[in-house]
Amino acid sequence: MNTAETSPIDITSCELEPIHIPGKIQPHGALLAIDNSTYIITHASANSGEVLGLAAEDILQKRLPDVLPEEQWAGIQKWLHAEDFSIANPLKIKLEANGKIRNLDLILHRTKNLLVLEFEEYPEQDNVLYGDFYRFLNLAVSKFQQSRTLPELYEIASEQVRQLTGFDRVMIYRFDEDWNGSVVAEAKSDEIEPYMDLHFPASDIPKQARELYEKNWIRLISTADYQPVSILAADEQIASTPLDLTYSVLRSVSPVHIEYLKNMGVNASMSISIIYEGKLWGLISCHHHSPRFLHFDLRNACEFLGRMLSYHIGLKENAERNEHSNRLRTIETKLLDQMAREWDIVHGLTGNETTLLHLVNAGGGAIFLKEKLTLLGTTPAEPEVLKMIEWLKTKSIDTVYYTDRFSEQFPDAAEVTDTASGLLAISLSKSLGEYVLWFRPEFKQTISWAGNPEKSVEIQNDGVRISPRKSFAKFVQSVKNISRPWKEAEIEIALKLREHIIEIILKNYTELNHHTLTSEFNKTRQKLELRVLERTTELEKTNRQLSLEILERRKAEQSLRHAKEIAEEMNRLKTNFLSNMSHEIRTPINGILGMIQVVQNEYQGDETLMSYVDLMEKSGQRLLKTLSGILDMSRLEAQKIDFKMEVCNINDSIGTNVRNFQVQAAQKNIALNFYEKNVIYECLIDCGMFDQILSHVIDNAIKFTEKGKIDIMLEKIVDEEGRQFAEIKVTDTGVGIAPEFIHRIFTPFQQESGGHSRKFEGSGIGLSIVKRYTEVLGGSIAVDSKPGEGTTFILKFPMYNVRQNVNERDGNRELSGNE
Amino acid sequence: MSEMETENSAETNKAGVLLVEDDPVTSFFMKKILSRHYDVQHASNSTEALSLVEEKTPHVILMDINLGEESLDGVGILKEIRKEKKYDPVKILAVTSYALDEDRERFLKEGFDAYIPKPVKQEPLLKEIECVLNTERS
Repeated sequence: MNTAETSPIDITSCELEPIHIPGKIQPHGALLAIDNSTYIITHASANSGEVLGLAAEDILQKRLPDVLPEEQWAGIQKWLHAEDFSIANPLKIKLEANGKIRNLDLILHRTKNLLVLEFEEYPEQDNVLYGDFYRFLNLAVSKFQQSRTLPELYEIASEQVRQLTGFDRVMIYRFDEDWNGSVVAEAKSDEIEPYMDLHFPASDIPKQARELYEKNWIRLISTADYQPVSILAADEQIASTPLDLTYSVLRSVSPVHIEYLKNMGVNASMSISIIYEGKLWGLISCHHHSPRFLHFDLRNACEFLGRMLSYHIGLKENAERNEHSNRLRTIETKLLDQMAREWDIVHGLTGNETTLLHLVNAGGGAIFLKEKLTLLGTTPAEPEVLKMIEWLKTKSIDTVYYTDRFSEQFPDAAEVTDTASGLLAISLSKSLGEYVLWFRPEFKQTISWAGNPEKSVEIQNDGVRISPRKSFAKFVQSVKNISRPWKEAEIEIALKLREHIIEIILKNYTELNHHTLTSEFNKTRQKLELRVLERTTELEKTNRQLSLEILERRKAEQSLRHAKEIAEEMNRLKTNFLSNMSHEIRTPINGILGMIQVVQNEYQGDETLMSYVDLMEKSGQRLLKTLSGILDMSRLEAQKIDFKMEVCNINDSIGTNVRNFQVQAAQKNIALNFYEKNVIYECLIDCGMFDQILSHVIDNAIKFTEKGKIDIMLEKIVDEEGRQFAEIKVTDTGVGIAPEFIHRIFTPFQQESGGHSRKFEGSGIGLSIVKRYTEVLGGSIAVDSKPGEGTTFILKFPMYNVRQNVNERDGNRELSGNE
Repeated sequence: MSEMETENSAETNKAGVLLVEDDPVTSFFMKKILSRHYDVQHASNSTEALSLVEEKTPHVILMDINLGEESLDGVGILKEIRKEKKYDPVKILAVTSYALDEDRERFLKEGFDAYIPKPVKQEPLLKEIECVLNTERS
């Protein structure tokens, strides 16, 4: 028998420590490993005797079924060949050790050809909520859904995890792009000092630790004061390869990390991963001043919260990104209008209220066009800017260049960091050195570190071991010569602007060209009478010039096409991303809803359980609806939705919808009336889409009306230009919309908050889709509302045909054949 | 899970259904739902799927598309199976989380006999299987 324990490792850098093969475990459980096919025990932790009543030296090299009580073996055996243990874990096992029956959780996982069995003692007295898991989780997730901003979401998550686990301190810890972390939310007991907003250097959680976090959602150290327990191997050959504990729940952690926790005054620690777009986004980090053990089921619930938080962070980040780029697009359109109206690029970008500075939120801007420099806002002086342009020329930039620490790239810029710490530049013509530049001033900020980050670890005197810093006292660092970073959406929109400018330059150029050619031709004709020879020369020259110009134009066209290709590529990537995200979310929802059906099949008699499961199902369905809404919205933006215009009988569509909604209205005791005149209205629209618009508006009216009625009125109106519209008014006697909110109801993810928002749940995407659909069909939607009295939605669609005689209705319908 | 399979294979009068699915939770509940009515086999990757087709020749295959494999996805497996004439009567249904508007058309065009988007509801699922089984008999 040999110990698999590796000789003490020389830790000269945290990054080098192989933390997945420590050869040791934490002592609150025992570990066995068996061969997949023979069931021979290859590894046993030294405390097996104590925990399992099976001393390591007695059981190594024996077959597991030969040492376990028959009944317990039978319980384990049927799972041994499962592909995935997530359904089996934890198996409940009873074993006798030291004359005492112990209740154990058995957690299984596989590594190479071995099956690893980890036994954790299940606490007899459980002071945290247990039976209420589902209710608790359901409530927590619905709170996640109701949060309006990311900071609010973080805060809710930290509070919920603290409530679930009872840790002293629960932090939401977010990584930046260099893997430094900062505390973005914290829930803690009153007596301890806050860590909110503190920063931690990347070396605190080295790369290999982050890799483990990406693989395991949970890591628990129930006490920092533990004595690691060695894992013993059956023979020398087995001992020569250390047992991979990547997926182990008992894995002993690095001694450096234990020292780190002790220096921080932490005894128990748990981390829950937050993963966004397949990458570790951050952690839910939990600390406790005294030992704290959470059993597997409770850890599983924590994992669920971690996954839900990850999902909601994804949703919110995408929504915020979308909103931002919509705002930018509005400014872009305005700038384009200004340039096109005045046919003057420089004036269009600088001469009105909206300028190029608004587009990317810059402090200053510069345009260098036709050898003329125009400055706007707060910029370095003209000679400095010209120097920058010279420098840019040497960088041979095709489309865009940006940096938030310009002085590191271009030393001369160190003199002007107050105005130009950040630079964003688009190239209009590489050969002529024409650019648009944006400047951002220095963003003075101080970062509060938890301890001096420069001394995050210290090499000890012996030179072979490192130890973490002793003090976590706030260390304030100020950051210099750096501007706020340029966001992806801002760079994208700058590229769009570049396309527009090039397009306008091209148009101007073509017109100018026309004049030049005419005068050139006239001159030539005069000369023709005098000097034939010279005329030929002149013509040849014109020809050369022309072909030169054509060449120049082709070049410009090519760069335009290139820009277009990039835009198309981005659109394609976005669509791909959406389709993947939809798939990734649908798969677990399918799991949840599927398991619910199994429970509904098998436990029909248990009414309480059925009612819980019903709630779970409703939540799942709601999640699904939100997902479809988000996808519709995004796909509409990417112009992925097809529609088919045909002549549609509006009266019939409304009639059908009203019939469909009668039951729903009756349930709330609301009258739903449709008033139509003796007239048939026909519009050239997509009938399916019109149905969706209408049903959403009616559904909305019913949802927000507690008593009274909903009237739907269909009328013809004529505008001042004589165009005819079918106008559909949907009037309810519901809660109404507050005036300060009414202009935002058509914006995605806006739902009126406070008051009734809890009662009327939804993802807040619906009306924005209604508006987009309506516009796609050439119609318009408006809203009028008085809080407390009711709301009217007014839909207008251009008329295709009006027929007076309702009696001939059926006949006409057959003739038109468009139903 | 293995017990379930042996239990069912004893009743040979049931139609054979092969479930190709890599997600363990989905596999678990689908087997629960299906094994009440069919003799269910399960494969979690393309290799298992193809060997079970050869071994058992099921009446119906429920095919997940994204199996987390680089080489062969559900569409690839379908194409492999369709290469062999003798498997012509086997009905192959796409059961997938690819559930955007255009996906139905896409998978039917690839040659699947039916398309069932996830999340799966048991009644429509069972109905759809009955439906393809009936077309087979006629």
